[in-house]
Amino acid sequence: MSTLRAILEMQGCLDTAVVVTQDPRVMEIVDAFLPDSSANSQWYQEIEAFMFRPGGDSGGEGDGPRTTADPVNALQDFQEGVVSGGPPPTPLEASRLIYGIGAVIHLTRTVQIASMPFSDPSADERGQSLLADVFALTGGQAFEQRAQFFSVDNIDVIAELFASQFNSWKDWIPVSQQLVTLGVLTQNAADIPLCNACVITYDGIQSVVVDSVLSSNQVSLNALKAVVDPRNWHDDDPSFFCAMQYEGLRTDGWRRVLETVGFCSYPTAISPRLVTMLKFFKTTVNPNGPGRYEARLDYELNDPFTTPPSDGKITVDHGFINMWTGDNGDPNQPPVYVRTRKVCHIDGLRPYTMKRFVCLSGYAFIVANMLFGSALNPDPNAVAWADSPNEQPSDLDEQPPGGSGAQAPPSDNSVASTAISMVAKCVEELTVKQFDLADKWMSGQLTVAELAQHSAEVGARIASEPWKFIQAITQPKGGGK
Amino acid sequence: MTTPKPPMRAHSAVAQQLVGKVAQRWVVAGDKSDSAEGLGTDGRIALVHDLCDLGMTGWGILAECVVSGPGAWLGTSCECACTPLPSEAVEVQATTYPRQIEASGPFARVGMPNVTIPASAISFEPSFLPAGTTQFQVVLTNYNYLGANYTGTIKLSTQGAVNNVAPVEMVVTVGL
Repeated sequence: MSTLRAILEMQGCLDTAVVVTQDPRVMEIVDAFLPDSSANSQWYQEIEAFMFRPGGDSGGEGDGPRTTADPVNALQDFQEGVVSGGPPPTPLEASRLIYGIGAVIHLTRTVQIASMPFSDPSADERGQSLLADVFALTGGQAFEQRAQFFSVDNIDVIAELFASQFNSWKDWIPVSQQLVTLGVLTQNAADIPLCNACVITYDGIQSVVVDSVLSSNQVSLNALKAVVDPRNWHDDDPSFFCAMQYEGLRTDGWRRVLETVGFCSYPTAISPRLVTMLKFFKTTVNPNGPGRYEARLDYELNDPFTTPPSDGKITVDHGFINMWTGDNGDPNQPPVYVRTRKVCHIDGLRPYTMKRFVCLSGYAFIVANMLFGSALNPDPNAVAWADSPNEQPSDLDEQPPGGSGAQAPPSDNSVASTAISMVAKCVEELTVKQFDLADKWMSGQLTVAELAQHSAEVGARIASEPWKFIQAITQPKGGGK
Repeated sequence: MTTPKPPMRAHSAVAQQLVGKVAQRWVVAGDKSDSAEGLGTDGRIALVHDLCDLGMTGWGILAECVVSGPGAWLGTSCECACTPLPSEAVEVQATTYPRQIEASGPFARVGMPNVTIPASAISFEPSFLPAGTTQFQVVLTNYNYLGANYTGTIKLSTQGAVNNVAPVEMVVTVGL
């Protein structure tokens, strides 16, 4: 039983529907909720196969990798996970699960075809009972009074809301506010933005970049700083961050931490973990006079890569959590403003699947759990923002020659260096010409003939430059450059 | 479903867009210049900046396609469904005149001063600060530097369009 796996399965139902039906109407609806999902189908079973060992089902039914998702199974997993003594869902988990339930109900109520692999979970008694339990948990209601809150009629009202008003991800904000009114979500859960993830090429590797912009009127900058250190991430989000083991100070001022992530409620024999040695660096800005207080946490793969006992599966993993007060704000008083970015690549997953995995798991969204959880109820044993000035660098120092900041610069293979130098040269030349022209214009000396000649030159340069580039990269440059 | 682009089609599209946009800027500026109120100093500065910005953006996209490797030439990765966000907003004091923004030099990574972003890989949003504007964001045009905080110096100037106003330099730290 795992809340995370239930969220994965609920959203995975959309993928299963695409795979099984191959129906364009289904694909259109699924893409409206999870853009590009149909073009990258089978991502659900890909994540399952990646995170669960084949033959690992000896511990119970369904513990091995699943190949198809079912909404009732997901609801049951979620309900059992909490009822059997697990922690209540975090606002982030509640938000992601309800998003999936809403999309599945919309799909099943909109497209009714025989080949659909599952039915509307709100249409039968078993599903209604489970939905009442789940809505009570995600809405922060007293679980014992769930039947009172969520009668069959109430469930139908909620399902109809999903069917008629939740047509795509763009509708999430107004729909989530209605769900707060209906008691299905807390305001904190509704305030969590959707996962904004893109696939980009970083240093030649297709990677996922996840951005988030958040703020809180309940948490101060100092309260957030008190829990944001990576050594606390296990306490901030114990479902996915299974362990964050401190590995000491480096000579360049960064600190190492061994991150272990995965579906933590499963034993490693069933669900293996991703183990990565990270390093992190904290900076603070305290204004001398008017201004704003700021704090920044940068993190990065420890170098040299891979540092034992990392498993090497995560080959790109860096980002930052930036926090600040309002102008002339008090760091001990709300509000606090936060911006985060995470760039990562996980070997063994397709780029789109990585994106789904990172968004589902909350891997890049831990700050939401801080703002709406641990920063509101801080653990007195949490590692503080300020580190001891007397700490000495530890022996585990494998820093490359060159000392502080000698991290390998971005790739400068022959294609990249050629392209960049050509672009720089061309931009420089075009810019100079444009300045010259503007100068003439300002002094009233620009003639139509000159303008026409310039336009022709720009056009010719642009048309011919890709071919010049091809010619340039075929010239050997020596020295591996 | 996206149809894969054949080789070079992406580059051709970028080039065509760039030519089109440059031409559009000149036409609009020409129309304004012919009008009763004229183009004005602000318009001239905006024109120059837009042209530079288009040059940077267009070639930035082209370079990204090229350095993406063979996959890009086969049309599998040139297009992003979305774009990483620019930096958090940088606050500046308001002025009564427009200003141009530029990076005075490379930006150095926080905690790793040896890792620097060349000024050519940095642009600004908006690319030009109209009078009264107090915020801008820093945009990274080379994703190889994405995902870290950087410190650098930016210069705000009028490009000589306003007399007796010296350029102003300020140090900023932003997440890119």
